Amino acid sequence: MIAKVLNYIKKNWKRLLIYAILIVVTFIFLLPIWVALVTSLKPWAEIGTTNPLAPPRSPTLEAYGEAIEKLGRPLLNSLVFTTGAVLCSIIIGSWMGYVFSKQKFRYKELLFMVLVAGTFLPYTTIVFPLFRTMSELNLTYTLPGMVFVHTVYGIPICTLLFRNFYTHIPDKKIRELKKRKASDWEIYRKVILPASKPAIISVMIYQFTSIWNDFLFGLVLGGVESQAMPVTVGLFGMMGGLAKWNLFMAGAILTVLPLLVIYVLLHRYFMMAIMEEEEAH
Amino acid sequence: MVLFVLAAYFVYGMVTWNVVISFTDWKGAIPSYNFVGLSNYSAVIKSDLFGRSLLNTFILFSAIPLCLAAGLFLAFLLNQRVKGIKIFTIIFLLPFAFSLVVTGVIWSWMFQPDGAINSLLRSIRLGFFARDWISSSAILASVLIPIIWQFSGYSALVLLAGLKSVPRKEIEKARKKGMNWWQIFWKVEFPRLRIPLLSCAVVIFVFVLKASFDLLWTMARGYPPGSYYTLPILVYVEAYQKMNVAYGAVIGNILVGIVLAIVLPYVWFSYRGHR
Repeated sequence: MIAKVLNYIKKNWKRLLIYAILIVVTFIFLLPIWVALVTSLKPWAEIGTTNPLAPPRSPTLEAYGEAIEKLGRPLLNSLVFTTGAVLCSIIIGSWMGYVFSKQKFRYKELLFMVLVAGTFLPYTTIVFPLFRTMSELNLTYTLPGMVFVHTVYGIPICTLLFRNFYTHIPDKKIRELKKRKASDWEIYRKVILPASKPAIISVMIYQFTSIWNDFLFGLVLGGVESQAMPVTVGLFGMMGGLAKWNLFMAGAILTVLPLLVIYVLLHRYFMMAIMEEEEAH
Repeated sequence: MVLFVLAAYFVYGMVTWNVVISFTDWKGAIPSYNFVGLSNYSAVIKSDLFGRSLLNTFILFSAIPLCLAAGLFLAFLLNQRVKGIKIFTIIFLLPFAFSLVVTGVIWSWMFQPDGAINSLLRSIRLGFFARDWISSSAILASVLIPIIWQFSGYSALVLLAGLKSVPRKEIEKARKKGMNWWQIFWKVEFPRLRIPLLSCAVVIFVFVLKASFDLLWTMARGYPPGSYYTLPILVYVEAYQKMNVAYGAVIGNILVGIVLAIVLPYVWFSYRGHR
């Protein structure tokens, strides 16, 4: 028996070594998530008195109750404006992607580069002029304002992602339709849109993740809870008070929960979006 | 076209507006457009906090090579042909989907003096590594760990694609010549990773700038400014919180300048490469 095992190890030591390293690295990657999870399930009395790595002795959802009380409204805000902005982003990005991939006009490449270069800009630099502009439009501290700002700043990246997907669509059908004097809208509806499904899912996930996770715009333009405060800002605000780590961890987990669900179900498209973005850069 | 103008206005229009503001004496809530030349610039450059923030920002840039190295290591692992490798790819990319605020909150807890990191170190008899990770003198170095945790999966994914693009034939050929895995990696695979590494570095540079606000603003609240302020934080504090509008604009412009100095040569290079 032992000889058999030794023999197996001898034969497969390379593979076993790789698995061993992979498992150690996985442990490191999942450790913070594990710690957050066990802490969130501990009652207040176990915080600071028990090993932070150990599971709770008497698991409870009390921290979640308090977290939902505090983050319920911000969670709802985030859900509403993120969904709205994602829908707008898909509609606009899809059309712009079509324009920049299939239509011909002067300076197309240059305009596209100008658009894409904007994604490199750290938005803290323009936070003040943006705030002035938004207050003049009466869009500060409102949900429509959050939808607006996320849609506008999402245009470059969504255009880029859709354009990359659409360049793979063969031109043949478009040429045929053009001969029959079809309008742009007709070409878009008959050729581009039916081929858009993977692109739409990818952009949806990409935009949902980045809008949901945004902190800066929410901090400046979101206002207080009852207005349009996103959940990231709500979580940040919670940290200001007493150091109730079980509450903070419950809040953190509630904040990532929607993303976790999407990620587990649709990670394939998430990776696709990342690769497309990277390639374009 | 309207949409294009809208998007361009909200990016380039704002930058231009900042440039205009930076030459004025606008301070406080009421706009003021009296031209004062370069005096704001000289005031900012002379201030200690600006120098400190600039230095802190550059210290954080050390996360870029670290993320690339960690990503390269992970990509190398993920390129091995063993069963179930996809699960590991999914796990390594998981933190990338997290909000930086969530990362900040979780790691603040990990870094507590009696927190998970120190407990873990003590339990594996590495207690002498235990320290006050989150103190104001350590925060800038400590924050590199969550940054790597969050972004190395991303670079792994990108570099993995690069590794996969190496034709099997070339690797077989090298193997027949008697090269070991390290020589194969260094002489056959690595040269093909130059372009993915470069583009990955630029993208991570953008991420790190974002993290230098979100993460530190969450983790270092209430610390002495010099210990954690970075340029994005300084812009936010001056322009938005203290309403030193013109100063904020100056710092913002300097930051835009730094970004352009790094990104423009890259865009130019890759644009020429495509042709």
